[in-house]
Amino acid sequence: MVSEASLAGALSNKRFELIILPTEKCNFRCTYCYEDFQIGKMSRSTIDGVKRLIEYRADEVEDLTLSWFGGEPLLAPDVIREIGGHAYAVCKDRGIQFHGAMTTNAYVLNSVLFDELMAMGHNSYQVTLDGDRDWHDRTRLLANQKGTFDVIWRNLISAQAHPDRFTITLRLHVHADNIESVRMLYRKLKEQFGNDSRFEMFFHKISNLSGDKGIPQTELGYNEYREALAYITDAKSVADEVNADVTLSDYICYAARPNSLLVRADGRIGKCTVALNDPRNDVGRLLGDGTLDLDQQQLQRWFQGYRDMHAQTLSCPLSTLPA
Amino acid sequence: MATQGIDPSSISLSSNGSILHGDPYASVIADSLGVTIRAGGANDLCTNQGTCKGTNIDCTNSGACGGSTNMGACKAPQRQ
Repeated sequence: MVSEASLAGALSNKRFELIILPTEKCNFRCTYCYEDFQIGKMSRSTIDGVKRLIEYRADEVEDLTLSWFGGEPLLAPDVIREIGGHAYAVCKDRGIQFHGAMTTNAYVLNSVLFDELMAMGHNSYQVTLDGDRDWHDRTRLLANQKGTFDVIWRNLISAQAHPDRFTITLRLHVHADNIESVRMLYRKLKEQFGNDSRFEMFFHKISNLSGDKGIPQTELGYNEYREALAYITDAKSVADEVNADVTLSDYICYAARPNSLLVRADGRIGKCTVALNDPRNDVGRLLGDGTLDLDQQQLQRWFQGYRDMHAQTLSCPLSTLPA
Repeated sequence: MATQGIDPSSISLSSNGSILHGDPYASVIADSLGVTIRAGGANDLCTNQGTCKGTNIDCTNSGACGGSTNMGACKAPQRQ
């Protein structure tokens, strides 16, 4: 059962989150990616709409989060500068807590850009690595098929030189074929960043989400995954006391939270960052004047978990969304 | 813990993104948010709140779990 604290966080008007796709293009062609990169950079009308919407919400919220997603969001740095800078200024002016976060491949996140983003309150990043250079450069490729590990590593080290507090969370993809490579990477990361609390790591069990086009990657079963993590981290075992059912029961996905909206580059409003090509994810449009034209019934499909506080539906509404 | 369910059709959004609650229970809960806790959003990562023991399968939070990035709930793996 979900806690009232989590419920309050999801249902409150004091909090507002926009997950923004400033472009849906990407410089990477990860072999397992599910996106199709059909939609380009955000239009002027949508940029203006997002800025106005933030102004409207500023009358009510105490906590605003902008989470940049894509495509690769840093391929549209001007959009991030304009919207992110505006949000940061509005929040500073009104005494609202501001959180700027980004899921980026970090390929263009050089020190100049990092400094600029930090200066406007963007201090939380998620960067994915698929293993050490050998495996990463097989699966996280540029559109021209070149590897990306060395540039990302250089940018991470540049970020480390920044004096201020930030969080870079390194998401390490694990599957049956890259365990040895992730083990090498883990050691390298511990050596470089292990004493820097601004860098965090977490493992993610990966499977091929791109259908037939990617390199087949064998998804690990639950016990195999636990054993793999123990091996990678040199732990005797992954702790047994973590009860997945208990922990899962108090998580409400952003897609199920009424105070979280996805703004696509073309102005469409959605809920889920995974189901970008799913018509059930189209819940409305953001207009240039900052108002939302929403299909309430379509939107309410994402709130079904609240009916009986169903843990799975609240933690991933897509998993039980009716066709 | 949440003591009762909320009819999804009672939750709507106004044109400026404000949540309109038609269910009194939802209203009360929403208004009860006191301490601002950071939302996770697309960057939902190591989000353990409360008890955090050992190494979580997805999050590997083996250290202190009180930090700003460890708020909320813990995203657990699907059992196979």
